[in-house]
Amino acid sequence: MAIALDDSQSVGSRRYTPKVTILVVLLCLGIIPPFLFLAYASLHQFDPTGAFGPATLAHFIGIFTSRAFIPTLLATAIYSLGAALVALVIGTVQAWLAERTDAPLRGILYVASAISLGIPYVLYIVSWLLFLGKAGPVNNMLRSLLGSAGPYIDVYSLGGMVFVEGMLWSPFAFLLLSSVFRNADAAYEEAATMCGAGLPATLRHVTFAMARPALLALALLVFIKASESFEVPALVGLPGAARVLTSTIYLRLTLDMPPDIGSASAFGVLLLIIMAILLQAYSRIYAEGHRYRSITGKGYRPRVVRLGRWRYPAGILIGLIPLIVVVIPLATILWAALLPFYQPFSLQAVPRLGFDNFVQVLRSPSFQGAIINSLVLGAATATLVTALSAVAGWCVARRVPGSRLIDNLATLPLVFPAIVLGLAFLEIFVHAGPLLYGSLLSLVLVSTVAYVPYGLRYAQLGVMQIHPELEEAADISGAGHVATFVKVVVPLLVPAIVSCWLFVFLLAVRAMSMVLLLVGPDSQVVAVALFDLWNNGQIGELAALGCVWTAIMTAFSVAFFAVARRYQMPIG
Amino acid sequence: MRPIKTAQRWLRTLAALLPLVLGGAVHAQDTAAIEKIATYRGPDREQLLLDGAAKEGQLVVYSSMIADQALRPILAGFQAKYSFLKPQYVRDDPPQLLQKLMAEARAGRMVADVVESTGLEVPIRNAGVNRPFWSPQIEAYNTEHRDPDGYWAPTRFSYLGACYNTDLVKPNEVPKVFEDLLDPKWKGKIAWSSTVIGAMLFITGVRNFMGEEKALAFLQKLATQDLAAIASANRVIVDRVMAGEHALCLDAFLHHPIISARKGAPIAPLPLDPVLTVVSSVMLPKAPLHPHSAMLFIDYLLSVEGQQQLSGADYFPAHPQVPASPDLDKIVPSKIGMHENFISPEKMSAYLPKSRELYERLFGK
Amino acid sequence: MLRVENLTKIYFLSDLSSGGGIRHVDFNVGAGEFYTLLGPSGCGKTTTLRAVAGLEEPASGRVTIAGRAVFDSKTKEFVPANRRNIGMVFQSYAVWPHMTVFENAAFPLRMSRTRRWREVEIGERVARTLDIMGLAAFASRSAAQLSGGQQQRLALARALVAEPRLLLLDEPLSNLDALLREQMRLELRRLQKDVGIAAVYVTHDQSEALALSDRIAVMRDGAIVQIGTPRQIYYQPANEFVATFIGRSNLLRGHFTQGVAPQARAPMQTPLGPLLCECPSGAVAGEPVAALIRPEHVVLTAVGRASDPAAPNRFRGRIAHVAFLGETTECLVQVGDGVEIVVYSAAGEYTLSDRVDVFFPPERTLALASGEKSRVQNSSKGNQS
Repeated sequence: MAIALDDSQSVGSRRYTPKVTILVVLLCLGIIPPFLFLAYASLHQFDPTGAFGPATLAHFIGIFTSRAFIPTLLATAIYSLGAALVALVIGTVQAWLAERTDAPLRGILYVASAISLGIPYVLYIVSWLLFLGKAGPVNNMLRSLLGSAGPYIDVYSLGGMVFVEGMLWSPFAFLLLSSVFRNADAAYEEAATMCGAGLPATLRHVTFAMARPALLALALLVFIKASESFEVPALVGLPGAARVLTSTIYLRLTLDMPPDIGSASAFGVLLLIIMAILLQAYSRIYAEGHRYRSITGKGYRPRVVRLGRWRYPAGILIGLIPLIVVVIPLATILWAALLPFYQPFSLQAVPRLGFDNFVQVLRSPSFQGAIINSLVLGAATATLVTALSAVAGWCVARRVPGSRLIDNLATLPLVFPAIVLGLAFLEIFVHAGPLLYGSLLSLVLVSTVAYVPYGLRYAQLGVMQIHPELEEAADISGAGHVATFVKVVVPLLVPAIVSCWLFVFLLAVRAMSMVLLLVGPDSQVVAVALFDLWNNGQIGELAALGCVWTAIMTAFSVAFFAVARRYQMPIG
Repeated sequence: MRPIKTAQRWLRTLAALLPLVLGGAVHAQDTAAIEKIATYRGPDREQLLLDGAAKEGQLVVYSSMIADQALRPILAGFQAKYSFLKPQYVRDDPPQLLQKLMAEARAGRMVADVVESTGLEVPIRNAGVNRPFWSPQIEAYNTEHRDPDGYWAPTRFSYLGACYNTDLVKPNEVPKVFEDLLDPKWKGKIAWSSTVIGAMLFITGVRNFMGEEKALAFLQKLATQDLAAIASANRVIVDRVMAGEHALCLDAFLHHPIISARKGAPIAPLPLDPVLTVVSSVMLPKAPLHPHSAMLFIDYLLSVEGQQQLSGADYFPAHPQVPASPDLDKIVPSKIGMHENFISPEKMSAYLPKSRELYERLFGK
Repeated sequence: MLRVENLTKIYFLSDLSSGGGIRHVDFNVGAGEFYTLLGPSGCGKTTTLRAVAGLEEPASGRVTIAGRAVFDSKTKEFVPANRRNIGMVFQSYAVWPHMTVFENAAFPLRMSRTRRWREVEIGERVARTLDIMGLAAFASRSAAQLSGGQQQRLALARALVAEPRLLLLDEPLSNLDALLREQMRLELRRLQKDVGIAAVYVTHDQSEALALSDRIAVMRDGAIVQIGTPRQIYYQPANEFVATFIGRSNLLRGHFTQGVAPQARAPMQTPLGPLLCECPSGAVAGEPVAALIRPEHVVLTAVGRASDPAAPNRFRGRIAHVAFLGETTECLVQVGDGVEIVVYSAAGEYTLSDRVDVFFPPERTLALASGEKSRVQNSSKGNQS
């Protein structure tokens, strides 16, 4: 069947090109069903076999009348806010020191961030649980200083959740804020200096005051990510009595026998609504932040603050931050990986160090399978997302008819917390039949849907850097649409495509809560394997698998960093 | 207009293909054949199973037993016997196992061939996931521990009770009866797991031996003790008590503290009379991919040899002729002068709604 | 008011080779004087300004403001920029977009270390300053909403509100369009005279420098090449560079056959033949020099109508190009062997290919030290950046 060559894009034309139509259809296929299934499941009863029963509002009523509802909401808010503050403070200090001062060792901060992008969430969290646990070195030291009846750090608490989640997001905060500080015009601060302001006054009235929209946007972003996160609430909060919305969903599925899918779905719908509201607020604040960009556009390169005497304390601080955020967790994991069974750090344990765990992990077919599955999942997702986003990003950046629809559709998955998306797709795959459920393909589908928004952003940015006249020149020279896209746009998009591919790859292999409900024995992935190992108390193997995986992933994340910085693509 | 019409035609073609792609799963064997294998009692049963298993060559076991200590050695023993089979396992807690099994059944893609777990008997049957089966080994078991309908066969017992941190609780402070738990000095120091096999089972047990009225009074007083309700498996609570986060827990599988204490951890089991007793069992899904291998494994698990493996893993074999490890004597009710508070799977299921309601009402969720 | 002595600051590139800077810069600015640092980009004028401000720390030299040394490399004295009590207007204005116009202007008063300002006093002083700048109506508006010209005025207000002793301006008019630039030029000059503050102004625009300044320091490659009033710079450039940078010029290369005393007139050998020139600083025989004559001083007459045909500095030429510029007409006249001279004449007077008589009045023909190039150059207005 011939596809019409006359696909005019005249302004006002409501005709969608085939490219746009196919894209819209694909996006709808991926993105609309989860909403529908989730909503349906939340409004229906389930019989003991798990099939849908009659319609009901009981799930929602149950949520709102439960005594635990308000405490859970509050806990979610406190946790998210706390994590945002921790990440913001650490990220701001790091970013300012790295970009606006002459403090020594600044490069370490970037290296640490690159490494941290490669560490799986579960591994990172577990390392803190080991380090800060009752039997860990910190509490040991407290005990020896204050006696065993004295206070100790209980990491399995809301405070512990705030700390670990904040630590998790601080590299991300650092990267975003460092570009804000890097692009700031030094003239504003010099003007303050010439008006008589010393360093503290300049920081307060100018540097941070002008960065406030960006800081606020970042804090809100971390707030959103924390409130939809699952790993920290599950690993850190559940063993304590701290519960937030996402962990409650998991509990509904695992506390009750049979699992209460209706209630879990209702919570999911609730979370969706909350996320939608928060994301709206975020996009508004983000847009406002652009008001404060340098008005004339001209400016000196950002002037570096000479710290003088404060250089050495600053250098120490810079050294401390990666030490705490990256080195301690990695060291703890390495320690755990080298011991046959976990013991707190002590010199007596040193003779027992050995590589048995590594041998076991590397030899085990199930772990090998998990590693391969994760790599395949990452690569397949990255490829699909990049392909889809390249086309979608082009449509949106060039504002073809239908671009708004594509933009909205492709950004929609953002409202889904990972675990809710997993739950929604669980229902879909169960109904879709045996070929999909439990297969690696099903994981690829879910994570493709989840990461399309991220891919779109890279592609959009990349296309916007290509002047439309380049394509118009091809057009006038007689090239058709597809030829122009393939021969002109794609080669110029290569930096964006590569950045996008690597970034989505890194995201997809880290996904745990999204695929937790969907993995089967032959589609096991590393992220879930780590979670299982922790729940089964197999710390040595967890640490060994984690080390091996982190090493592989660091190679990818360093590659990503190099490409992104070289082509000035955003990182995250 | 033409681009849209074109797209519509593509969509229609796709829609036509979809059912073919998704709907048609080829079942390995049809239902009647599996039923025959599951319930066959003929003299050539062993040979039939061996022949079929040799063609299948694989086995997937879902269990909530501890992986390193129990599952791996048992599967190793099984493979030693049937070297042509490659067994794999999936280890998870009972609720997660149930969620996976139900999803697999609804999707029409059963990955599990055999299920061994605690507390799943009734829900799994209600969900229509499993089928009745017969093994010659089952005849050796006591009838009161068997399922008359043949949907499950007992594999091991578990005794549940309290446990305490030996560093935090002095020998003369240790509670001796249930009422001792109400002593104000334990306020804020007790933890339990908010799962079905945790707090709710404890409540069921209390209701079972105290009667509803006395149980209600007891539980109301217990609620004033500020129990820490932790949404994890019983074993995790034991770990927390071990780490000193709590002094006592109420719903430990009593062999867990013994195993840990053997490694030097400051934890001790605390059975209280009568000792809550439950049975774990093995079940057969309706449509396993490897039914012959599954039956062979069930035979093995229920046999003396398999039960001895369980005993070696510090579990309590359900087989009347296989004794448990002597180290565990101090928690076997008959050996310490206590009674068994046996909760059968049916009773567990029947009591659950009210136990959950009591839990939510008195202890909050 | 300001004394800059022997200021040196060298920038090093990453391969440790020299990347420019300033060397041995010396100048003084008197009280109430409008002093301009003029030169092409990269000449070091901005570096000098920032060194005076305290935003750069020179390697050696001394800077004294109102009798107090704010920088002295010998005594290691360095007063930080925020304590020098200087007002500064940046090229990009650096008006803070997140504050109101009022808050922008009030900032120096709030930061003042010498005096604690009460809110009422701040209000009064700021209102007065904004009024002078014509921004009183915008006081409570966000500074981000101002136009370019308004921002520039706000920057000025902010620089002056605390009544500093010295005002520094870094190319403040370069971001404005041509018309606004002319207006602001006048206003700036008037303001500076009214307030009576010493000002150091940096620009690459020579017409701006000529119009605004009491004195100009022409800079090149990190050093000052000439200091003088606008008239001095224009009519008595010290060398070829200054001559070509300021205003339009015609340069004829040549040399003197005999030594010339300072202030004397002597004939220079040029491609056109002997040219009688004034030598303000004398000359050495044989040394390469250039004769400078401004286009507006060249006299064109129709052939045959010259007053004194035998007078020196008279040549025959032909009009090669005529450009009507509005206020004047620029003619390119071909004289002698491939030498082209730029002349300003009245409109309509000559057309292409007209034969003319070209006369260079000796009192307007200056002999300057030269050195680099070997062909006649007609420079365009010194506006390269």
